[in-house]
Amino acid sequence: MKKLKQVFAFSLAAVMSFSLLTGCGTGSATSNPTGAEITTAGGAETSTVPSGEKTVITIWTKDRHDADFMQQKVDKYNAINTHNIEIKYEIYSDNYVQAVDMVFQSGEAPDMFVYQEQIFANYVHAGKYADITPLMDDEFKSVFANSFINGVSVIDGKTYFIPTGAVTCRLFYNVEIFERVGLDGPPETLEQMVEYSKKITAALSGEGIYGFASNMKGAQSALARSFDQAVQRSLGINKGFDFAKGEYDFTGYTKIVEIWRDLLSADSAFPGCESLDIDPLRTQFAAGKIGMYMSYTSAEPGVYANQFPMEEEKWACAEIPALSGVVNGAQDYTVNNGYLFNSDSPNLEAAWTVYTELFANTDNLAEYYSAGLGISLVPDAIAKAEPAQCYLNNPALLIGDTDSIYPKPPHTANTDAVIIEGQNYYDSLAELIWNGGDIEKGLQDITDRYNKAYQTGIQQGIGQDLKIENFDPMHPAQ
Amino acid sequence: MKNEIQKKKWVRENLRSYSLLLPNLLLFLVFSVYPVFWTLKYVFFRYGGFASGDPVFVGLDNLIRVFRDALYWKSVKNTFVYAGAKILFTIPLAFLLALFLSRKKKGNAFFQSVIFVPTIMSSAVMGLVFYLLFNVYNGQINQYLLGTGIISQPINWLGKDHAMKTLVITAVWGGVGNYMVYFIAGLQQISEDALESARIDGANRLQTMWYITIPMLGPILKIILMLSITAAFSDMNTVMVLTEGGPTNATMVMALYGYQFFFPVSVGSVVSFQYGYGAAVSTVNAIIAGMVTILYLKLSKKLDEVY
Amino acid sequence: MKSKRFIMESFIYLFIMIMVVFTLYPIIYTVLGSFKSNSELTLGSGFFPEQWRIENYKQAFIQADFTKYTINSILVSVCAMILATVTTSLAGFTFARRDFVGKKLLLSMYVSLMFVALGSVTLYPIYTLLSSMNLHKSPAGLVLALVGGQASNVMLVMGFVKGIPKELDEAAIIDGCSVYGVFFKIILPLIKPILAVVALFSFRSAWNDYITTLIMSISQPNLKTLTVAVVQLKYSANAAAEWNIMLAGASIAIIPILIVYFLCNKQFIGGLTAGAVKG
Repeated sequence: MKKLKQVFAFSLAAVMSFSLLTGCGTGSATSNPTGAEITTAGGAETSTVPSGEKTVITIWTKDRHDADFMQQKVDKYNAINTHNIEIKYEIYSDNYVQAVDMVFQSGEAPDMFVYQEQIFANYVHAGKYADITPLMDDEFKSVFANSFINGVSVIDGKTYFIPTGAVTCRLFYNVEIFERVGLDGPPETLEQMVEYSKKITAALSGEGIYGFASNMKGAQSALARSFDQAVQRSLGINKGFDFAKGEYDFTGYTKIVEIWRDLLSADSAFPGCESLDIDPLRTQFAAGKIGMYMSYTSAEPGVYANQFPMEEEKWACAEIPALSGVVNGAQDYTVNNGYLFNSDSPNLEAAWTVYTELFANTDNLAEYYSAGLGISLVPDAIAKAEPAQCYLNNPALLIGDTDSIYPKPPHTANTDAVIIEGQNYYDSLAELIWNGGDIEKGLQDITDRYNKAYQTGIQQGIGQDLKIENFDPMHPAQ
Repeated sequence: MKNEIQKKKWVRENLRSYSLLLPNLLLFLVFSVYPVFWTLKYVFFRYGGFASGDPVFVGLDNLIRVFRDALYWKSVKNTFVYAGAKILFTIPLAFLLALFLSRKKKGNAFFQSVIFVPTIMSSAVMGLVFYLLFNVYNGQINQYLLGTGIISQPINWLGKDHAMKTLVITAVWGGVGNYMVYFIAGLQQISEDALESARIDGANRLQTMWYITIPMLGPILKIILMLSITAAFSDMNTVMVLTEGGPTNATMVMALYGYQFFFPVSVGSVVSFQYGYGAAVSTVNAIIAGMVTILYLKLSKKLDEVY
Repeated sequence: MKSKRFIMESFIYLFIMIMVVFTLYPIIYTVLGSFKSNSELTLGSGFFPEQWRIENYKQAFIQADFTKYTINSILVSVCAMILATVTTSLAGFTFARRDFVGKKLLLSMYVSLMFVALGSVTLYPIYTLLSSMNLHKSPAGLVLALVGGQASNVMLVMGFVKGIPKELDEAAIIDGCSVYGVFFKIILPLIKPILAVVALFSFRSAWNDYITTLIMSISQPNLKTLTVAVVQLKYSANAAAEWNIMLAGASIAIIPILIVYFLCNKQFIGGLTAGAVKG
């Protein structure tokens, strides 16, 4: 009967389109794993071995700036390795943290992850990352001796990843602008920085050139690469937490907030900083419109070489100054380029092989360093490398004596234990900087809120007291 | 015997009804009902996501925290400002347009179609375009204003002083066409007889409008206002794309505030996973929106009685 | 008197033209800008591009993977449209014509959930549920999430069906039609206008969707649709130097829906008021 046929056709169409969709889905999920923006250099693809035999190692990364380099290495490895291993290198540059969170939830985590502070902190205590100490041999341990950092890559005696790179923050300034205004060199105190900035703006704002800029669109992004460091050097306090006293204390920040207000005021700063993002800032710096700004050392050289080309002689970098030039603490630096191993992975051994042969290969690391993709922590790699010219011109780009690794404050060490009510301190500081108001009162409010969250975590048994006896801010890594 | 047959028929008829209803009902239960229950449950728990252990029952703590949260109430104020400004500008413009374009004149149908276009576009994509247009240095709007000498310094459209205004402009752009069409439908419903008799009685245009047209638009106006109120409370796309709630939370709205405890607001922003608190915020959002709607309905009922 | 009229008419005309320009300006900016070079856009230029650079589109389609996203958008929107139309027509008919156990309860749930707006946080439980069914990486999961309960469309169809005289149903039943027959033979042909509206609106809603698709594509970037991909261009590493690609992408995202609109103009506008006026 006609109506039955119609019902049948209807439901058949529906079912078919559905299975097509689900089929398409699982198909596309495995067939083209590389993220959106990668353009592979041809495809030195592996030989056609039937799929059952190869061990596939999946690796997730968040980095785009070295994507081409890494993909080349991966392709080469896939072509020539004798272990029958194929590497799938996937880029999740958007929302890396979120993607990792979701993938752990669905239980399909890859074999290896590029280290990122938050994904590490979130899952290390849940045992999601493998302790790789048993996989290492003595030679490995000596080559990478610099990378075993307690509290960072080594927690409770277990090693989770080997960072091969390091990042710190510095002051980047335009040499040409400084010369034009008659400044001999970079500022040596925070107060001088304000003075220089105002001088530049007063002289050159007619040409659209201003003394200072900061990517304040994202308060955390901007202040975590500038303000935090100024505080570490001037006060020996890391992200508001005073390890000697074992509590949060933002009240010492007053002078530095005042300085930042000056720096970002109309007679000093590039207009529109509040909605300025880091890339537009870099564009303007490359165009010679900005005198000074602070940022990470890992990305900037590559940025001004490739992305927003700027002649190397025109920019230089220097240490971030301290209040009145008095240094009371080391400056924190972070490590990167480490790889975390999924503890539930069935291919841990194979993944380790891949890691030692490709990612922990000192030749590759040396090449990486020479290409200006990041600063190396590994002595053997540094020895083999020809550092890019910018590192030779600007030794300040490298990790120096004034840099050290601070222990993590409670709110980053154990994010669950410290739940801040209201804004995080970056947003609160940004408010104080932009909107005026009583600085001391504002800082006290931040201090109270953070301490409350910290104490609550301890009381509930999930947080720990992080006071350190005899804490020396000049050598915080001890 | 009769009862048995009747019973069988009753069962069979119900099964038939449900068989037709089932596809939609399944989707409805899974995608509309279940999330509501999930959210309501987690209001009373503290849960930090997959890796941070099991959810912990905390009773009313989350709700109490919402009431204490100054940033939340700031977002409420921002939402009211945004909604208020949006309605204040959109409705009169839409009404005027409807008034002029509902007449049977040449080209009016074409103009109607054109003005309706923003409604069918993605607010996220157009948000991106407006983001480019309002950019301080490279945006065409500042370029034009500077070029013609109207201003001497570029206006920081997305800075803390003007971000809300820019948002409202974008929202008005997207909404005028939508409400214009509703007004047109309402105007077309006003009976010709009423207008005729008014004209015969000697009323001029303005009087006709005031005494006949506007009151008879009452029902459609009610619908329009209700739609715009609910839309304004849940609208998040424009804010997310244009300002991401910034700078420094100057344009943070209620819906976005709850969202940020689950998902990143923009690429690279740090999420503090607090699902219980986020659920609490969303629930309070819904309650506030509900209260406003009910208040509005009560008020409009009173107005109906007056007329 | 006539001159007074004339002045008023001119003001009205002026007002309309201002609104038309205001409306079209961003769209024209997008389309024209998609052919300009990046420096023309960022440093300012004339109204028309100096050269009509089709390379922008080439770059968008090939390097920025927009071909894949276009296919995704089309696939997802068409499937969402079909699913929405099928499910709402069946449900609308059932609510309008049939009595069944729990009807009152269900009806009140549908109506109340139309107004309860818990916002996009509901995507978290939805995502978790989909991943437990292993649908979180496939377009099917995305389509399901985009279609959802369709409460307002069901009410719309229900209202429309109620407007069809019951005598037609009864005549068919007397002739021996089952309820399915009534639906397919009698009602379905008559509700085509409102189904066209539902189809159009669900297509548009799926095509333009941002947040749901964004979240579903976090763990599966291949799932991105045009809308999400275009907005994400804003965050790409080279965003400041790629305004022309962003506008090309935006044009690719808006032109299809514009075409659909101009073809189905009346249904869009009519559909909007159908629910409002009748209700």
